[in-house]
Amino acid sequence: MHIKQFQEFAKDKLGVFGVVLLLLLLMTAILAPIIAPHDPWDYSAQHLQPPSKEHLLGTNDCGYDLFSELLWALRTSIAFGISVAAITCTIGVVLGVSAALIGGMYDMIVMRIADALLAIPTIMVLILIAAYFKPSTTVLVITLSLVMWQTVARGVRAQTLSLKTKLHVKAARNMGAPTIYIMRRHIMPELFPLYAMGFVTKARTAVFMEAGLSFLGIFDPSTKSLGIMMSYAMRYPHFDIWFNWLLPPVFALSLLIISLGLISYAVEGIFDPRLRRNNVTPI
Amino acid sequence: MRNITVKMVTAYLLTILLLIFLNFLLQRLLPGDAIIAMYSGHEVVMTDELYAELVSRHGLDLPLHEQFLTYLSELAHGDLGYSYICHASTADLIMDALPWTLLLMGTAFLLSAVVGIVLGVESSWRRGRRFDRSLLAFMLLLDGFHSLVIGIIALAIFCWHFGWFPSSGAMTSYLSTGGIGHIRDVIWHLVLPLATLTLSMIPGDYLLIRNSMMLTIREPYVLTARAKGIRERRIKYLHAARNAILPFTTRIGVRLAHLITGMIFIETIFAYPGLGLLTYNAISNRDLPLMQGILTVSVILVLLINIVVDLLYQKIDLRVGYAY
Amino acid sequence: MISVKDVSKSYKDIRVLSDVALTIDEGEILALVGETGSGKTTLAYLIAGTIKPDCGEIIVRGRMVVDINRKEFLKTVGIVYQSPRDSISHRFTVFEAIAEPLHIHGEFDDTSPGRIKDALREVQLPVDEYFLQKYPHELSGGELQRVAIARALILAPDMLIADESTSFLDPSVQAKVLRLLLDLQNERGISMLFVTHDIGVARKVSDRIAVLHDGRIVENAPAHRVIANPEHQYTKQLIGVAKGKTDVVV
Repeated sequence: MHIKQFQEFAKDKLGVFGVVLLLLLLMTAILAPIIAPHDPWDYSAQHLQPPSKEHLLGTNDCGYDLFSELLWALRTSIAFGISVAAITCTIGVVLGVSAALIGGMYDMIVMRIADALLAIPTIMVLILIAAYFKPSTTVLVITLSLVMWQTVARGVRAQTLSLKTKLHVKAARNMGAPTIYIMRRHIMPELFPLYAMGFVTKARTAVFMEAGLSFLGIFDPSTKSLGIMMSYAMRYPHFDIWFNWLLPPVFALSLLIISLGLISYAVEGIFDPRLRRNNVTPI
Repeated sequence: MRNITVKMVTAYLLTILLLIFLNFLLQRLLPGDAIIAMYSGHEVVMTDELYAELVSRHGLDLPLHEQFLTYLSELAHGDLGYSYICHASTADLIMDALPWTLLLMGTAFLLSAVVGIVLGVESSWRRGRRFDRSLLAFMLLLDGFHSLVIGIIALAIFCWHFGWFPSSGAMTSYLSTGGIGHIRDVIWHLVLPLATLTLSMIPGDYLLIRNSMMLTIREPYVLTARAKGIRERRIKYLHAARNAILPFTTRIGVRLAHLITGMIFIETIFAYPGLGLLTYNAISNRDLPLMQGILTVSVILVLLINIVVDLLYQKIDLRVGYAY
Repeated sequence: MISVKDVSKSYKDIRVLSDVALTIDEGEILALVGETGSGKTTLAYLIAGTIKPDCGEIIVRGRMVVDINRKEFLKTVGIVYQSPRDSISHRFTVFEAIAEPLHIHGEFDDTSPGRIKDALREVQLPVDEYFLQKYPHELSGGELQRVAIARALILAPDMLIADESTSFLDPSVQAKVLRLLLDLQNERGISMLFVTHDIGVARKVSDRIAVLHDGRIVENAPAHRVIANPEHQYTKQLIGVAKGKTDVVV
């Protein structure tokens, strides 16, 4: 990102708060194997215990330590979000830039597929594919990326089209620069804010989907996942487990989505300075 | 004008083709024997007669292109397959669930749009002031709550703890009051799912309208209207908001996708007997024909709504006519 | 050095140039004068080798441009554009901007920083590290146009094309940049194609003036003769307009 844009971002308090929150969650997720007091797959403890020194959040119906399970579930969510966002953005950027630079029939086909994807309810497709193939998490990550790239591609394409006509791009061409050079030096760096924006919003959607799909029971039940924790906790509405079993994953998931949402909103503000909310112009 | 209609129609045709193709391929791409894979692991007892019936029912003994044609003609006749787990035609199951979903989704869609528009307009009108800043922060926070989360919290508080609302169903069976009592019963069951679904939709609508209003407010015609001394509320809603709402309508596809996602989770949590719960049950029972039917119906629904909105949009905004 | 023979160029159905013939000699400054839409920029880019003519040929030192390796040929032409703010990416530092042609032609090596500093000295800009790391938004229009000139000259081209290079600058800065261009041309003895809409400026800088009108060359003679004795009605109009306003002092 350009230095100026970093400074712009730093001015946005909510955005900075989002970044700090996300970094904390990220650290927790990375350090989960070290922080977690128990093996989250070890069911030797007594089941449905209330919180204690030994088990910070108590144990669940199978005798898993809930705190350790929570840390590992957060790890799953973040890893899922990051991988989907990375693949989606890569597909989107490659298709968007190439559509803009190549144009013609290729451009038309890519854009029509993007339109079509926009009208298909992603979640239904995922559920169907998951139910048929019982795919691994990797396959689900790829499938989700394959149906989510269209918004990134659209933005990138529009931006590339306008960049193509910029004088400094023409100047480089007139110096004899090959297309690859122009992409690398003149187009890709300009697209960085778009890439950042796409990455954050897609990571948010992916985290959202992972929680939802695992709640619906599409993932392997032995995976540690916030959605799976919630769905199991929901089966015991009449025990007093909601505050130590149901609330923690709910809370963790919300923090994660909130942090990503705040960042994406701040990045959007940098993109279009007219939206800057702190500048009050009298009318 | 004609150009954009052609573009639109191609996009929708392509969507339908993609969908049909996906559905068709999924049945045939299954590893191993499709029939066994589809019906194994259930209470269905696989006799030789049943197997033969299934093979011919799915046309699996025909060449691939004929299978595709058969599939197309079945689809054209509204035949979405048969659920051997529920022992009913998929179309019937969906038709039973659809009204509840439409009631829930339609109301949530309208409610969240109205609330989102009013709050977005008011917020942008006072931008930078405390009202705007706190509302914005609140909405960004609310936007961070998964519809699952909102649903679970509402369920825990209002159903489990206070017991004010029913935690499942769309109406009480065998209710004897009839008439008004019946309507009240339906509303009583609808309140929580509707409130949570609406709540999960509002931030998106609000942020969209607020952003779009921020751009519209500086347009010369808004300034002119102010200079002419037209009443504040009139300018806000008749001049500025009317134009700010346009991007709202073009994003209908994205909004519908949100709505459907939210609907599935919320119907599941509140056991509300619509398409979402049907999907959840289909997942739990691995009822593949039912899932395919639901996908087909929901995509067609989304497309129909998209077409209607696109046509309306062209009527509202003449700019579309010559901007392309 | 360069001769353009019966060149025509159309965009879609609009004919921009018809049967244009023109020569630029070694070390000569040719001013190409015309109003917006006269085809002067198109002609300049045809000569620069960045676009291809529909028919006719362009010959450089006895070789057809179409036969010369495009990349090699582009190396021999330096272009200075109208607006330096647009022609230099806002993400490049002064150093990166001037180094760009070297990177593109794979000539960037240990000697490059020295070459870049020499180029900066030639355009009378500071050569300290602080200045080298400045971004375009930290420079004035005049400074930035000098950077653009340094960039155009870094590969030691045989010809410099100045495409309305001074028309975006303040009048006082304009004069300085014009003088700099003339000095550089004089020192290096390279040819220069000076594209402008202002016949007054053209008279000050050029040896010869060619006037383009509706895609045709209507006048092509030594500068003083064009001003003293315009042949075409259109040239007379241009001179009339130029006299009506204050001339740039060179």
